Amino acid sequence: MRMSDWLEQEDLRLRQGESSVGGYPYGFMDDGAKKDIRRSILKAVAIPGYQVPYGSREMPIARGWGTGGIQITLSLITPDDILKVIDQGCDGSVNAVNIKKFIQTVADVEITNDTLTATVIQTRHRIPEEQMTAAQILVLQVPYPEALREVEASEAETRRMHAEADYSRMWLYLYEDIVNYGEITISYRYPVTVNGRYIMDPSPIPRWDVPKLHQAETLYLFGAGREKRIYAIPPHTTVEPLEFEDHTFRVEDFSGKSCARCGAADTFLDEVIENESGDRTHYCSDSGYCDKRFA
Amino acid sequence: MLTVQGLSKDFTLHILNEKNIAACRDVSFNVPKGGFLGLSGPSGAGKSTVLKCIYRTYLPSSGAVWYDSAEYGRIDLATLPDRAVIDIRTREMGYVSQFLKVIPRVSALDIVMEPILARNGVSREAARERAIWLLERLRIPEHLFDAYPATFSGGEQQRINIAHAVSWKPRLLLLDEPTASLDSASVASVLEILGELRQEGTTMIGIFHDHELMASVTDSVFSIY
Amino acid sequence: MEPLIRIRGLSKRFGNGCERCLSSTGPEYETNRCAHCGSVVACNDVSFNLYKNEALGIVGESGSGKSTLVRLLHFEWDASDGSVELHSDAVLDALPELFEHGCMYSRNLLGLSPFQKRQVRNALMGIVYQNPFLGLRMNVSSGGNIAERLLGAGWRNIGAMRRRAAELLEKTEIPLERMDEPPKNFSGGMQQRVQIAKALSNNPLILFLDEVTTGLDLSVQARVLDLIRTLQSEFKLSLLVVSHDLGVINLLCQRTMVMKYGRVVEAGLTDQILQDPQHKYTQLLVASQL
Repeated sequence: MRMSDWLEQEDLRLRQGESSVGGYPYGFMDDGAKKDIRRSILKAVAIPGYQVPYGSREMPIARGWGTGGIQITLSLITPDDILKVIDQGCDGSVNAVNIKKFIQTVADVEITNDTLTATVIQTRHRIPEEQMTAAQILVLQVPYPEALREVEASEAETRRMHAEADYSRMWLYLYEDIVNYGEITISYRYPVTVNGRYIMDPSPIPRWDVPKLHQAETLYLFGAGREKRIYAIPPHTTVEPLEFEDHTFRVEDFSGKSCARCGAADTFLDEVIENESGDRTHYCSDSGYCDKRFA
Repeated sequence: MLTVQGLSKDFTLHILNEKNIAACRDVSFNVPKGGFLGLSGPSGAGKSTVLKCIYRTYLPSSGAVWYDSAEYGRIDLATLPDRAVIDIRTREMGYVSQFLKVIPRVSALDIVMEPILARNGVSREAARERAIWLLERLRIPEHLFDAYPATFSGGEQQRINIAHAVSWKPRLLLLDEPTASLDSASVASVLEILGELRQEGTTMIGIFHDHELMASVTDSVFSIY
Repeated sequence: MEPLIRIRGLSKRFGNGCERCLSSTGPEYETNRCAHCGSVVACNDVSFNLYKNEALGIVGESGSGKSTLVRLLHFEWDASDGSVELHSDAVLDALPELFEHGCMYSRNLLGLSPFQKRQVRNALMGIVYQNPFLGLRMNVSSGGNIAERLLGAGWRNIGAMRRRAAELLEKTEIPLERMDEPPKNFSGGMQQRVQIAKALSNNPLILFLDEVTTGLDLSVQARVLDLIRTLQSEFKLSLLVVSHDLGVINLLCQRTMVMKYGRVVEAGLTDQILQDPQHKYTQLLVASQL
């Protein structure tokens, strides 16, 4: 059989196959690929905070645009799932909308903006304000999975450091920060120790969200498509931000500020500067939650 | 206390066509506890060699150096392991060389205190007191106590050297021309101090350039040819 | 007294090696490179004891294997063969897992995992290199350089670490107001003193000094040597002093080993090595001394 004939036949088989959606296998990737990724996820869950290398697949989106998160979502999702996708807390941003459209096309799932009704939430740079449950999974898109990259450029060396729990240089980085600036200046990607063992990059979430990782009800999965790494924080895992006895970890301070739209005073706020007047107003970063309160 | 038996020392100079130099040949003598033996002989006869063999700065080629140690009992210094030699040097055996081993940035007082402190159980204050007493006896001007001996005159350096060697009251003291570079007043103070040490029980072996002086301080004299 | 650390048959070979490596290298052959397979026998069958609060010197010219020895003992390089054992007095409390029940000496440290080796290093070793770039992070503050070791040992209090760093910098005569400056701003002598402060931060029992005064001018050299002598007696340190300078060895060490082409050719009391050298090479070394 000629190659072109085989491809045509294969294409036809896929189009007619039971598990095909919109001309693609269910979940875009073939079953082997999904199985492979699920296996990596299982390993990540078994070793909390450890970066599991995996064979990152090509997606119809450029790497670095959420392909790690998308692959995790696609390998887990079923037709019964209800999906929510947010980008920096927002359900309606271009990226979030495009990812939702794509996943809906290839996996035929229901879409929601409501954190509490979603079964799988894929997110970039935020964890929803509303508390999630054991029945849900949060998938985080990760640009730079290596928390130690700031202090060590070599991948071989950072792997050795993780293997031997040799983290003094990371701590030294924080020490120098305090000596130079009086406080730790890391505002997002704040490094955490997972289960007392691995130092982990929690993806670029603000410090505000870091405490939500600790002893959570929900499974957190982290996917870095470009860097080909998957890692996880299983429910009820101890997650501690790196801190000193005399310089403890603090979240962003929004005291005296509240959302100009829904009035919430207990959420992570985005600052908006009006073009004309230069006035600063604040809005909830989690648009789904804000909508719910405003309605 | 110390019995030297058939002690010989040869130097084999590998870098000078294996040239062999016999520094001393078949030397035997005995020093009783509390005694003071003088070594005499023409220069080049091997007097210093014998002292250095006892102190183990030289490795004896043959023979034995039996020493009744307070710590170890009767031992042969010629074959004693290095670590034990260091211990004997720290606790029992002192040596006054012809020149001071100058240590940069260490004051005269600290040099004299060091061997006292190296033995356990002496307070810093007591060590300091003893060192000052010795330096005064040896007529070192007080303003030099905290100065570095590298800049001292030869005579001053030698007196520091003697103070360093006797400050901790060794059980056995080896003296290699201790008074060679001293004026007569300093020689007198040195002899006085050595006399006091003997009364406290120190056994000594010494080489003196001045035969009259040697005859006056030692009990007996052994000649090496 | 029992040795603090026992080293037996320590060897390091670079290259694949062959049966004739050992019989074709060493002082008699005036090379450490095997003529048959090209492997380099950097150090072969070195055995010695290091006792508490003693300074042991290692002299030899470049390529004699003296620095290799230090790197093997500091676990920077993996030894090809040999054993290193610690006396239980030193570290039984800190690292009980190194000791078989009731044994006075530890298991062979060379067989430990990299993680355990680092624990041993953090618990009892310090090192000062000839080149401060090897021992210091030049862009990190001097206080931070000292804190790094403490952080590695689990310290998590900035104030306590800064007090400890200040204490050590004071001992090594670095002005305290320069604690937050990086060593790259400092002179060679000052960098060396920061290195010493860093090496002492974890209260080590053993301090490796690898040509620490080489390249410093004489007055600075004297100051560094004086500092080392003072610290040794204050902290009851065991020193392994590697140097090609017999003057440095004479000043610091009671015992000395002489190395040549990867072998120990002579070992003895330092004054004996200097005044009655036995081996041809030692005689040459002493005769060449300025």
